[in-house]
Amino acid sequence: MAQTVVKIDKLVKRYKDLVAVDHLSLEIFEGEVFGLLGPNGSGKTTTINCLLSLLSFDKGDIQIFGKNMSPTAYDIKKDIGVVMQNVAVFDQLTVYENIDYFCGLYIKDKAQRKKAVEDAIAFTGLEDFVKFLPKKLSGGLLRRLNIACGIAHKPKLIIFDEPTVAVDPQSRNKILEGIIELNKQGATIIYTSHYMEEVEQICTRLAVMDKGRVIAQGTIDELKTNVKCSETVTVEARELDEQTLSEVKALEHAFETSYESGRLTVKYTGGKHNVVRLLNTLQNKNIHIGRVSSEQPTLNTVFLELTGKELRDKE
Amino acid sequence: MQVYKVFMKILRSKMGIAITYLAIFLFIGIYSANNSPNQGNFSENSAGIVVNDLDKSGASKALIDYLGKTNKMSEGAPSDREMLDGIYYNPSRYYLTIKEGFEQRLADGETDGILAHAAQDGSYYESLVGSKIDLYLTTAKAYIAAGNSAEDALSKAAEALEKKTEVNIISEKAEGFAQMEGYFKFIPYIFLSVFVFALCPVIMAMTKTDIKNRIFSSSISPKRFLLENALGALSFMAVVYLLVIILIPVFAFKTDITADMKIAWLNCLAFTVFCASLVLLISNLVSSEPLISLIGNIISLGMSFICGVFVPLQYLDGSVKTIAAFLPAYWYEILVSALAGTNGQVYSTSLAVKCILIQFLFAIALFAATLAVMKAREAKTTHNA
Repeated sequence: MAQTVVKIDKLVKRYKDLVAVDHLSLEIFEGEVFGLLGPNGSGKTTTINCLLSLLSFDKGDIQIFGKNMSPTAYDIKKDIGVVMQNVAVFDQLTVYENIDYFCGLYIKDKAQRKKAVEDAIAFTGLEDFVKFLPKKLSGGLLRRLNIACGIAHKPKLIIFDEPTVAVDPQSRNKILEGIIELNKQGATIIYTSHYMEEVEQICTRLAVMDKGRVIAQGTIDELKTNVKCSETVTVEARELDEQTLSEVKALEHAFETSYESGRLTVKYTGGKHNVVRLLNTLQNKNIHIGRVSSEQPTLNTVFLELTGKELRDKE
Repeated sequence: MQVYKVFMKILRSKMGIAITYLAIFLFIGIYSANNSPNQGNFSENSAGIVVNDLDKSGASKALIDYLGKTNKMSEGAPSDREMLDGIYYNPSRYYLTIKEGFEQRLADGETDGILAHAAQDGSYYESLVGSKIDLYLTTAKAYIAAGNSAEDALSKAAEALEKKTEVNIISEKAEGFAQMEGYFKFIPYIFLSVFVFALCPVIMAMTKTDIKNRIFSSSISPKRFLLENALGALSFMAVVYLLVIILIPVFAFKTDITADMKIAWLNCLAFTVFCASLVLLISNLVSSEPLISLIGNIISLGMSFICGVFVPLQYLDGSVKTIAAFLPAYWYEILVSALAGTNGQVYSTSLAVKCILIQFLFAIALFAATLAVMKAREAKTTHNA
């Protein structure tokens, strides 16, 4: 069994009357890409800040690499890399100087540091921009620099706090590919985001947060199997009468049926061949059928079912 | 020393503005010091005297020679209109007419009505030249009464009046610092400008929340981070202090290191500490660089104008001085004036202690305010997390 890298036990963080993190417990194992998913204000960043001892907390325990985490736990901190939500680099230093500076906070030996900085530059594809000041970089390049500064010292645990906010799709893919590559090289990753597609794409396991609490955790498949709706079938069909609708409602595994503006939507709790069975029912009634679609549950479905609200506003 | 190195690297990008301010200051300060009125030397004021000699005698020539020793003389017979114009455009112009029979009438012991003059009525130059002529003629009259000819009497009077009174200024203050006053009085403006414009952006960059979080997530302790930052700021301040306050006065002005100079150094040190506290406060209050420029200008120019940096304290209105008393630059200037013995200030040890102590108290107050701001900011930042 893989070793536990991070263990958070009943963490509580309050800001006066507001409970930002409410008895949160998590366990993250070596080699995982662990996603922390939740809407804005759900407590993800507060949890990360507590994890890094940037914030004090009211209750609970945090262990990293099997040791208690504290502001002075420098032996733990040296193996952690952080990529903050906002780009945290010096505007007055060049790309190379920025990476060298942050790497220098961990690696004192000059030759070793030089090698680590060059590796980070190559990894993030910033070779052509080493002498550039950050203000001369595009948004995507800036994010890559932010990542390079966080990973140059080759940490065992890397925390990415919403690293793709306000990044174009091309750069976003590049960043996500980079994270997968870092994981392949042996780093354990904690990835916070409110973009469920990203989490689905790269995370091996995740926890869904809302109002400072973990409302579900497990692998993506585990979470999806836990939701009632396993499939949603939509059919364009005109003039459905009450009797046909009753027959559709009576289909095996169907638990919710709606018919509006010539669109029939049927939700299923499970089962196979749901589309075929629905289409056969309609054909037997000589009903003309238009477009047909079948959707598997997404993390948004999971979140919607768990909290009764969308994970994020539609963009 | 990773943090210190980066502090200095970022500071290097702000060196242009610091050097510009220092260069302008050094130019103004050195110029001002070199052109300050030298209170140890005196020279007589001279008027421009136009003489119309109608007597053409030995006595009239002796009078002209006597006046020519301290005034610019020229001969001419201007019309009334020309004289009026001359006086109007040049207040130091004095038209003297030596009337016909001057020598004879003087030999007869008569001095009234033997000369005529035109000058700006009641002016300084009318009094200056008039009293000089009166004194000369009165002295000559005494020699004539003693049996000398008019010509001899006039030359003896000239000889007697050449003996000048030697004037020595007795002052408790060393001449060295009095000459440096013009240089030292500009220090508040230059220190405020250089330190605020150069250091605030660096401290702001180093303590930006995201960067600080990244640094505190690393294996460097907050204490060490703070110390290395402080060391960076202090290094810069020490270099500026050493250059401006010690090296330039000692080597460029060849000033002796007197007790007064040491008090002046201490005065500057107190103001430097105040600047350090102000820089810290601004860096923690302000979040954008253009705003630093605005605030820096308001503080440095405002304080300089009302505290006697640009305008001597003696010319400031009482109400302005009352407000200025709540600013450290005022107490700095009071001590500079006292050391130089100007602006009606008299130096005493208690005054020096008071002025320096007040500046340190201002610094302590600002340090306390900075701590409060830092605490409030931290609470706000953690709340937003």
